[in-house]
Amino acid sequence: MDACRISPATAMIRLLLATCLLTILAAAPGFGQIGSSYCFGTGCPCGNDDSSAGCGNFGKDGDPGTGALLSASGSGDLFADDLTLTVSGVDRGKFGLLFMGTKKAGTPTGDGLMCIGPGASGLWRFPVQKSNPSGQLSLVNPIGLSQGFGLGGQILAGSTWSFQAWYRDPLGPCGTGANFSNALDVAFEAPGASGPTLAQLAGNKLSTYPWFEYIASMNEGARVRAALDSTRFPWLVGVTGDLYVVAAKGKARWDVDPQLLDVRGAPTPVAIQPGGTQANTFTLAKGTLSGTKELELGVGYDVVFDANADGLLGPGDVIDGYSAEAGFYVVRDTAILGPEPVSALLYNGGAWLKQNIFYPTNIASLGPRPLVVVSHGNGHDYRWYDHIGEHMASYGYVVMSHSNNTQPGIETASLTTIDNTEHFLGNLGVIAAGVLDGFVDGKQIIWIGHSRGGEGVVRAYDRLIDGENVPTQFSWQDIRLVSSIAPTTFLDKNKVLPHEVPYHLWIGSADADVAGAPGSGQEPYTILERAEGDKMSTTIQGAGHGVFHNGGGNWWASGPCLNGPGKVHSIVKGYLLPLVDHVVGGGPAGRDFLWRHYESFQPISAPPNGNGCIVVNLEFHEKEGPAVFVIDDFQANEGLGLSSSGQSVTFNVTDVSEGRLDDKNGSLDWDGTDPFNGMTRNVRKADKQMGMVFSFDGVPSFIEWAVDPAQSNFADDTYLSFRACQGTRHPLTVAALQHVAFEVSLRDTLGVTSTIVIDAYGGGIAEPYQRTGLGPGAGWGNEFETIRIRLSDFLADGTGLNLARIEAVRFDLGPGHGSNEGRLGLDDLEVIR
Amino acid sequence: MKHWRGAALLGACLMVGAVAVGGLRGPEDPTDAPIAATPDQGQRGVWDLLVAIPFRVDQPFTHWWRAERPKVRAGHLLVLAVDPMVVRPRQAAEPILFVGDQTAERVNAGFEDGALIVVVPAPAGEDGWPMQELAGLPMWFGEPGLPEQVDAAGILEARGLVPDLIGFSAARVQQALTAGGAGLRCQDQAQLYLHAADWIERYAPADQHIIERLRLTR
Repeated sequence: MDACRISPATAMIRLLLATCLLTILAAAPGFGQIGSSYCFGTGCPCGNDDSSAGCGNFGKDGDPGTGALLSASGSGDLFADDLTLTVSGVDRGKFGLLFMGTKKAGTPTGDGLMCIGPGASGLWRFPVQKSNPSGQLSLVNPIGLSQGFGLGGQILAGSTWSFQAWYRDPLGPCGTGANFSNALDVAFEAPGASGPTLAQLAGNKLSTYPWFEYIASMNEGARVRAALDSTRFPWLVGVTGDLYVVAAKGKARWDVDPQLLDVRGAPTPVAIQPGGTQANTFTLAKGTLSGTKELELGVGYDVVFDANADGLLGPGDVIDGYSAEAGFYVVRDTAILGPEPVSALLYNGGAWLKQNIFYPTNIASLGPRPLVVVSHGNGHDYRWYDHIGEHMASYGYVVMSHSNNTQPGIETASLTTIDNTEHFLGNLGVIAAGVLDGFVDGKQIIWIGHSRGGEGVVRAYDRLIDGENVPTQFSWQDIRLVSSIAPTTFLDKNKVLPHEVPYHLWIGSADADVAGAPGSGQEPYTILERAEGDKMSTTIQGAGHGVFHNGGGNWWASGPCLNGPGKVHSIVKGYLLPLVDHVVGGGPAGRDFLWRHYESFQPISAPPNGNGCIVVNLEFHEKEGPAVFVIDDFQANEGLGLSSSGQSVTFNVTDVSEGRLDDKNGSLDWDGTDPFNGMTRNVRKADKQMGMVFSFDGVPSFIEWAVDPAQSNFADDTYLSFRACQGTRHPLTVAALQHVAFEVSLRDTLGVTSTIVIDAYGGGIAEPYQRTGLGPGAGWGNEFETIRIRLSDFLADGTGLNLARIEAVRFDLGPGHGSNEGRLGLDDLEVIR
Repeated sequence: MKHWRGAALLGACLMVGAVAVGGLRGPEDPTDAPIAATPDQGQRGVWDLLVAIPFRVDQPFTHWWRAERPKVRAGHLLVLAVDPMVVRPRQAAEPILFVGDQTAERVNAGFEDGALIVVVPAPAGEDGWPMQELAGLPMWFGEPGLPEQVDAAGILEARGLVPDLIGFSAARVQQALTAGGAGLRCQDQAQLYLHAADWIERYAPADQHIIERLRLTR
């Protein structure tokens, strides 16, 4: 058959299919298609017509009878900027670009039709890209990108633009090597023209730029505020409306019930002023909103700015919470007992099957509940975890703490964990006279282990994954979270590997047993580094090994400012509940507990930060995948001038090294020979967690990472994230024993920069725990903590930063930028969706 | 009966001596990090054999305390006076207790009372009782490690590090056997543990939580 011709039968079938598809799409508004397609492939240059897409190409399928199809999803809402244009049917790995204009045309060009002419507006090209393995090109946030085009090329409210894709097609039917998709018109509208504008409103006032933090959760009793940044909502300046706090409805209910009913009794009338965030921050409640509702971690509320004050959610209004997730959550005191009465019993299933079981007394009325299994450490007892058992059971969990055969070693402990879980789930008809039968959700299991038991639970999970053990009552998929308290690290990575299960680690910096000392062979942060899924750590300074259980006796603690079981249990309970609620139950109210600094957000009755003896450091790293863009994790391109994403890194900070986060000599003394002094993230040769260390000393200093142009669009992302630590006993750390702060900036392709200092949200990088030993001086191992900055915060007060075209991320340190001097470790610079 | 009383008295005296040497009496400050030690060369941590009881079980159980994980049908239950500093439980590697060519299972902690109740597997004779001569059998704490990682070769290697150890005399073993009384014929490991709990209660009462665990029968 002539390559340039298509049989009439084939063409007919395609036409019918295209008609059906268009009919289906038209009848299915939920599909997300917007825009009006035109200029399909009829009258193509060499008879390569395709009336359902652009002119026929070689494309991905090698069929000259099919062309490339341009489609759109999202909306034309200027504030939402959620329009996504997708071109399919291109050959894989071929260059192409999208362009836009306002004049319609249909000129045969190359192998296709150029459907947009220059016209008065001109033609505006978006960045060149290469088609993905599926043969697709895509463009997100064209509104934001267009703001960089300058006058005439900016997408404005009320305008309609035509989009089309040009792409390389070397084997195309007409031999020109290039082709076009069909074209698509999209009308752009002012924010809120067709419905409420979605935005974050609720949060906390800050004392410095960005002046306000939009957050998901706040504690019961805390003041709740809302901010409308007038530079981001210019159309609202001068508008007087009502601010409502409404019991969270979710989108589906809002759509059928737009009535605004303020939980406070009446809305707050406000007038939007020029002057950005500071001029438009409003108090919504002074600690009066309830966070207590049945077993829920928190109570969800939506915030609405009712611009026309009509008492209904509608076009022109602004809402925080028009989704499955509430605008914000008021969270109860997670460190105190929950509402359910608790029953407890001791059960004997055999020599190493002794179990201490806790469950909500009214479990029959609650339905199947997740199971928390606790595996104790060496010399500990299964009855020493009643603080966890009673706490979690009072929130509806079933807790089983079992006798653990730890003295022989980790393998034995891991088998004991598996055996006890199996035995428990297989004997629910017998245990407690059968009251739990049918009410334990064996598909939601949390394994928590302490010390040898903490390593044992990871080994147990690895056994399930590797098929070394195949229980009948549960499988590896049912283990939803593994949490280790001060775990030992006897075994290699091939045996103690959390794989992709969410993994959490508790560390006491004063631990005198699993001390985490470099070179000791017991460096528990290593297990965290091995984890390949979401991973989190909670480090409590002043906590010894023995204060995590409730058995009394020696705290196994060494160092200043020791914290006893009372304080530590309060912190553990206060964090464990939201951790499990979020990771296992998917509850959004617990998410903030994973990463917001203790200084600004902590369980209500946990001991307050600020007396010098309560320092809690948090790490949260999300599983790598499409939602995480790694700018630099130091795992590749070890050279100082190149990031792991292959882009340039420039700096004038001093004493810079990249390498294994591993103290080389076992001494914590800073003698200048070991740049990674105090790092304890790799206990065995097979562990290869890399990072960066550097110093700055009394002069303005910087590090700047160039952003891959293909990844420069941050507009759809949520956070800039990294983790950092202070270098223990380094003269520049010792010089000022306090938290370290510095500035983080984003710069777009037009040179617009926005800067936030990391302690704006309440905490910098904490100083090392001042414990002595392993050489002269004070300061124990380096403690990383995660810093997350909302990308939208860089837009506060009209910086003009274009998040869709970020070309660099920069840290500025030293005088004028935060702390005067310091020695820092750094890792995992990422953008998170 | 007279012999038993004599042995018990001797055992009690040795316990007092052990405690005096160990120096771990009275409540400690929980905020003082404890010191856990590896035994000095020559001491090797086992100070005396107080009680020895042969046992056999009808239902074999796994000896988790060595790499081969052998099934146990018979052995000895021993009460040892030990250096309390050596047996203090810790998460890091602990000195491994060897008895002849076996690793011993430590049933209790023993650091507060300086007494350890251990299970030592032995080959079972045709009558089901252990074929194991305790006299002259070296008993010592070796280098810190995980018992489950120690195999026969490892035991030989550990033995080679203490060639001077000669074990307890036949007379001392006889006294210990007398103190232990009749052999134990148990149905299974759990029943053996119940007997062990009695000896823990007598020689290491501070390990109350372990006694309660072993005796939990509900």
